[in-house]
Amino acid sequence: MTHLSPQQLSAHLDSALHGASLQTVETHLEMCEKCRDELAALTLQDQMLSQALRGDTDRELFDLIGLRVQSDVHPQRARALEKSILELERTRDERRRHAQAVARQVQEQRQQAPGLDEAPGALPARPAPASIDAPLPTAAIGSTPPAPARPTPPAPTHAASPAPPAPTHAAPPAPAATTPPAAPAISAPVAGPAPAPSAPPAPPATPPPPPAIRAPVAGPASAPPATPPPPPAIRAPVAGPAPAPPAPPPPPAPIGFAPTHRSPDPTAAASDAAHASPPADLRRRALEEARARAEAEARAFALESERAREEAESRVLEQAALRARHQAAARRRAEEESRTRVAASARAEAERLARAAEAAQVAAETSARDAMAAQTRAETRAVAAEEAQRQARRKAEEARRLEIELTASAGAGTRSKTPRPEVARESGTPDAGAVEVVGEWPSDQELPAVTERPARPRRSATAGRRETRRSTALALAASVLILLAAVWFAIGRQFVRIPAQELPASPVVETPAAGDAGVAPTPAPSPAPEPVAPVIPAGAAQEGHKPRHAVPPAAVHHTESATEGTATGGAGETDAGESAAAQAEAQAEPAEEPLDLGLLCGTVRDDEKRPIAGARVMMADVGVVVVTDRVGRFCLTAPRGTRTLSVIALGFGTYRQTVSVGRRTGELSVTLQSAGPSTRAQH
Amino acid sequence: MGSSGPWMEAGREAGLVLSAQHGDRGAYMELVDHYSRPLHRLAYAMTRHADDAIELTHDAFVYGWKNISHLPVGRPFCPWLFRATRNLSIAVRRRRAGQGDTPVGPARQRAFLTALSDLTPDEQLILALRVGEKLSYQDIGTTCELPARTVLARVASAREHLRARLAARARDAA
Repeated sequence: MTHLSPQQLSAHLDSALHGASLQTVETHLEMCEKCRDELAALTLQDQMLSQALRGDTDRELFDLIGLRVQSDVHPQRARALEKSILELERTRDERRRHAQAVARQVQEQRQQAPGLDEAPGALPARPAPASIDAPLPTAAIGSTPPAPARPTPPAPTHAASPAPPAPTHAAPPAPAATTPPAAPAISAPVAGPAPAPSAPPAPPATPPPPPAIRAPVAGPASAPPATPPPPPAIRAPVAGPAPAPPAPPPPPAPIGFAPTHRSPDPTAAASDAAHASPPADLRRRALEEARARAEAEARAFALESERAREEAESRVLEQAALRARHQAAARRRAEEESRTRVAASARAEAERLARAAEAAQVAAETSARDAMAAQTRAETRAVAAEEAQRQARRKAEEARRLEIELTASAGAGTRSKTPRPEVARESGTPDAGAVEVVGEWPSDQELPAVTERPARPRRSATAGRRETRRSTALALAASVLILLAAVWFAIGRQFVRIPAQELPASPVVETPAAGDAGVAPTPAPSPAPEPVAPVIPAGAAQEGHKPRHAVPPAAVHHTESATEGTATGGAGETDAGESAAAQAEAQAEPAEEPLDLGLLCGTVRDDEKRPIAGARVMMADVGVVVVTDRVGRFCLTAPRGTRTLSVIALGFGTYRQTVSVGRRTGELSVTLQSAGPSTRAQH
Repeated sequence: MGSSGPWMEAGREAGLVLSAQHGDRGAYMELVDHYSRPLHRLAYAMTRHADDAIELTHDAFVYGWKNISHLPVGRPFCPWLFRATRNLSIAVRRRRAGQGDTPVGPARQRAFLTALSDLTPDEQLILALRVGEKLSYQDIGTTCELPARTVLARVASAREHLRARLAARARDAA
């Protein structure tokens, strides 16, 4: 047979089984004794464990836990708790002093009224414990008043006095079998003990109570009328066990004190019962002794319990106060630390800002000094650049002057139109200093002056340095180009045929290519004057006048008269000197066939009639390439005939046009289409 | 086996938790008043020492106050606090390990508490909730974040382990 599993037993123990599983388990348990034992063992184990886990269930413990949690959760509440604890201590001291004063008063009254001994049921009051039992000022504490951790003192060891330690005990047990139960009333008039058989109840004939007495209490029935007034008890006397002596009327309770019920010692009652037969004085003495002994023991016990209770209370209060003080101190420390931290951080921040300001000031001064030094250097460099520029300009002027002189000398020698180079120099542009010789310069135009843009104002030291370097470079480039142009011009003169009569001693009269430098110009009469045309190198002439490179501007010089003479073929239009020179030339170079060149000038513009500078104007078949100037103008010389003119410019389509180069071709206007091959030429 | 357990009424608890999450200390103190007894019992079961139980209960409530904002809306407060107590009890257990754990009380209860200390924290928690608090499997599952079926198995296992430990200690004593 298969026994039940631990899970089945556990689930059955917890009543977690239902339906078929429950029925199965119950059926098995009915049959299997072992499983029943197992289940019983588990049940017992659970019970024992439950008892072991019950722990402390004291209410005050949880109040203490609540107080502690509240002090942690609500720090302000902890301060209020501290105040309430102090108030509680102060109130307790006041009440204790008051209770002691009342006790002294009771003692005095007892000494003044010896008849108290005849009321064995009326025990002297014990005011001190009553003062502790006063309600605590819970309103100041809140819903959870501080409660002692040790709530109750240990059970009294006094065998004959089962009086409860708590003064608020309603009714103490009867001390003896013959003693009727005491009245449980606390502040209300207390009924006296059961009437003694020998003394019927009588109305109180005692004098009025002292002013401290709250209200008259119905005295016990056994109080004799002749009995002197009893001392004021705390609240209500407890019926004594002695039935014989007439009890005095019960003293009223003073205001504000809880009663303390004390039972007489049972041993005293027993002794009273045992000594009932001796005479009355002996019995009375024994009774007094017993009562005094019981009183002393009760007081001792009460004092002890009170002391224990006070200790417990004071311990709890001290703990709470200490905790509250600790928390307050910790809070103050935290606040001070936070303030100190904030102040330190603020001080550090201020110091850091001061250091940063000093560093910034130093950096500003340094940068100012650097700027001043840089400005000084820039000014120095600018002055040097201006000086260099002036020197470059002077050199350029000298070069131009030299060029003009050379041109003048050449023009004077040939009496022909010398193409004058258009000098364009810009001090501020990258192509400054470029010299373009675009062809023959009209005779009625003057040599263009060197245009120079005004120097831009200096903006900064860096810009000044850059500008200075640029101007220096431009000046040097202009100088080099001018020198090159001058050299080129000087070399080109060698290719120009100069009339012998005008330059007899010139070393460049004849071209080196002619190779007939030793041939003396022998003027020979010619029936028809030969035109004087520029001579190109022999090799080029033999190759059909197709030079590889662009024709140098200086090499295409030709005289207007020679051209005109060639075109017209008339002899009377030239003067005699020129005819003679032409004849001499023809005789000197009979093998050279003069080229018939034509001049072609024009302007390259775009669609919007704006001039295009830098456009390349080419005649590929004769190898002539020129570049337009700033106003888009160009001039070139080429052999007469029908030529193909091509114009190329960046951003524009290529222009091709067949033109006929004549002696003096008119102005050609070329319009380039932007990004389109189709162009249009207007004559 | 249905048991209401120590739970507060759901709507009231949710309102108190919401108020406490917004800083209402009074609402939290109401929760403390309501749950101080079961939490103290659980703490005692986990620590088996009166002073440690008080300290653990206090620490658990303080932890709950500091972290109640992390409690998701709609989740019950008590299981969350029980889990926190279980976690905090581990630290107490470690601290107490070097000092010797000697439960007080009658010999039979001491034997049970000593045997209980040999179980794992989860087993102690489950037994405390089931035997001490009389919680249902469903509530234990809510606290331990376990299915009810798993809780059944673990309760049975914990009981078996406790029984075995008791038997072993009885043999040692003999």
